[in-house]
Amino acid sequence: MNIKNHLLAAAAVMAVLAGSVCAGNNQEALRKPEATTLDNLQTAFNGESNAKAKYEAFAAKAEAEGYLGAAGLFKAAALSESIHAAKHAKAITALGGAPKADVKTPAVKTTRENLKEALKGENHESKKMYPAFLKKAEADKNTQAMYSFKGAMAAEKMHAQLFSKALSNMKDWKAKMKFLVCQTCGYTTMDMTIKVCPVCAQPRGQFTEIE
Amino acid sequence: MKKIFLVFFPAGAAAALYFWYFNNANSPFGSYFADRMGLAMAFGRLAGIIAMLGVMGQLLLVSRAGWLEPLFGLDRLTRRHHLAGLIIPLALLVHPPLVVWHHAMQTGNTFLAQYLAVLRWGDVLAAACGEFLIIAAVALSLPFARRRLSYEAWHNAHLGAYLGLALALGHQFSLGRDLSAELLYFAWVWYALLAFTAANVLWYRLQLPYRLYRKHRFAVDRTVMETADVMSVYIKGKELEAFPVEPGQFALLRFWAPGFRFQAHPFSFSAAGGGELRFSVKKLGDFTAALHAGLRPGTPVVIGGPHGVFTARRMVTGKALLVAGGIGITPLRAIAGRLAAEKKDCVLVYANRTRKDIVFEAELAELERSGSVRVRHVLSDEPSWAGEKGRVDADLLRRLVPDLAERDAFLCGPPPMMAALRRGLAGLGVPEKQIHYEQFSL
Repeated sequence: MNIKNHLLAAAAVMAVLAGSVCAGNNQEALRKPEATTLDNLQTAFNGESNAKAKYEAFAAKAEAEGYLGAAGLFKAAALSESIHAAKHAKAITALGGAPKADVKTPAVKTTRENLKEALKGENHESKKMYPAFLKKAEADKNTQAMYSFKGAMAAEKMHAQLFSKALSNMKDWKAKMKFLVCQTCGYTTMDMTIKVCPVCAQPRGQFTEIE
Repeated sequence: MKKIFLVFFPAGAAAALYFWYFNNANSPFGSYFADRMGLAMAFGRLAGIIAMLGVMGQLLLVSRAGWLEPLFGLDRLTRRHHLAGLIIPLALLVHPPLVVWHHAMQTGNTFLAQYLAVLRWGDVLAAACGEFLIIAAVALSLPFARRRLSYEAWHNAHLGAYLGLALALGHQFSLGRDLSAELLYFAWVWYALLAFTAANVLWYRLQLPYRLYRKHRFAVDRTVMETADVMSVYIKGKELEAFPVEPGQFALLRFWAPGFRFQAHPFSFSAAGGGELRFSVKKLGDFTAALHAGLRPGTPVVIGGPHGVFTARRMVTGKALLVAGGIGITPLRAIAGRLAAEKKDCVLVYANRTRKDIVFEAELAELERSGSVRVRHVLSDEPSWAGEKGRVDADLLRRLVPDLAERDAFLCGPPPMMAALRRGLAGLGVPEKQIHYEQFSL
């Protein structure tokens, strides 16, 4: 092999190497960076703020349709979501961020459809979104975010149960019903005999009654 | 039945601790053991549970329950009571800050703001007052405080612990996770423990003495001055042969007369038999001074007991050495009487300051004449005394009783003298099981 051939071979190797490095950089550039706990808190804050607006609108619709029990449940859930949003906001501020929410006008349908929509949202939050956010917060050892996510996750689970219950027998939800919402974690229940919040251990006096 | 009673409280306490673990490992938040904020809550709750179990255990120890006391003797129970008593204030001091810190982190409040907020929660303020009373009862029982307090003040502070428990109970019912949890059977463990403790206290401390009174109708027959400051109270009653007293035991006496009926005080039987009971009381404080001045024949007496295992039944040898200091003669006088009746070899060494302080001098001389009992008086402040002088210590005992290692030693006197003699006798080779003593002042 003469010198010319050696130079050509070296150039080819260098070109391949350079190409692979560039391709690597492009892949890195294309890969979505992992969301930080601050990002997750912002996502959760935005979600809770929108959920609050949505449930308030759903409550008005349920009331108009004569489902007073369902209206009460939506009102209670709206209060609960506002508590979660406030807790997330505190955690965002503690990380040096500013809570931001893009609250959209909710699409209001019939109460049955609204309940289905609410159930879907609560299941997503309690089964997928918050567990993932919690895992990241645990990895980051951010206790405030952890407890904000844990409280919201436990409350959303309860909301899902209540929405599911309402959907299974809507007739019964025409009657007025009472709900209790924990002012600290947003836990929502129909059990009026409750003494202590099973999630955050606040006493009965720290619950708000919604009718 | 006795075995069931003995196992009941430890088993209930173990169940309560298991439920604590279960509750905290399976909260809707996930496990409280996963992070420091959760750990604060979990261990704050544990401290509350330990304090509650501790108070109930203490009440059982001092309930003078018939199934508990004979197994250990009141002195051992009392020592356990003193040691366990130290754990309760520590747990009570740790419980609030840990729980409040957890809540403060939850709500985002400052610790102080959260503390004040928690105080306004149902029953928490009452529980805080209860906590103060329980801690005060323990603090006033610490040696440096106890020395400065009269029996009455100390006793009242201890009664305050009952009120403290009552005040704290509401808080546990309304906020305690084990009692208010959705899993109701958790609560049943606590209900069972509380009921068991209350039943024992009510039965052994209140119901039993009054039942005894209804049966025997105890009343003061007469009082006799033994020395310038020791008075014997003779008590008569119905069917006293059915009131079994072992010499060396003591009872809690409540004289049913104005000024006396709200206090029960422990006194040793200085004699029992012949259709009457005798207690000999030295004028030591306000209560005993009032008894000397105001106790009248015919006064009804509610008697709790007899208590104690400081009796000749504990003897493991055939011979005895009795060492008394001052008014400590009372149980030993009764034991000496029993040993004399059984013709057992017995030496009684009796320490006093002066000859005028010797209680039962004539009775002891009478016992000596029975043959099996030798009495040696030791006086520390009587220059003209021809007998033994100075203080009773190991050297004096070895000289007076050369075969003391072959005897059972029964000690009763001021605590410093008892402590010194216990060490001294052990140093002289008297086996531990042959040294008997009992501190009945709880």
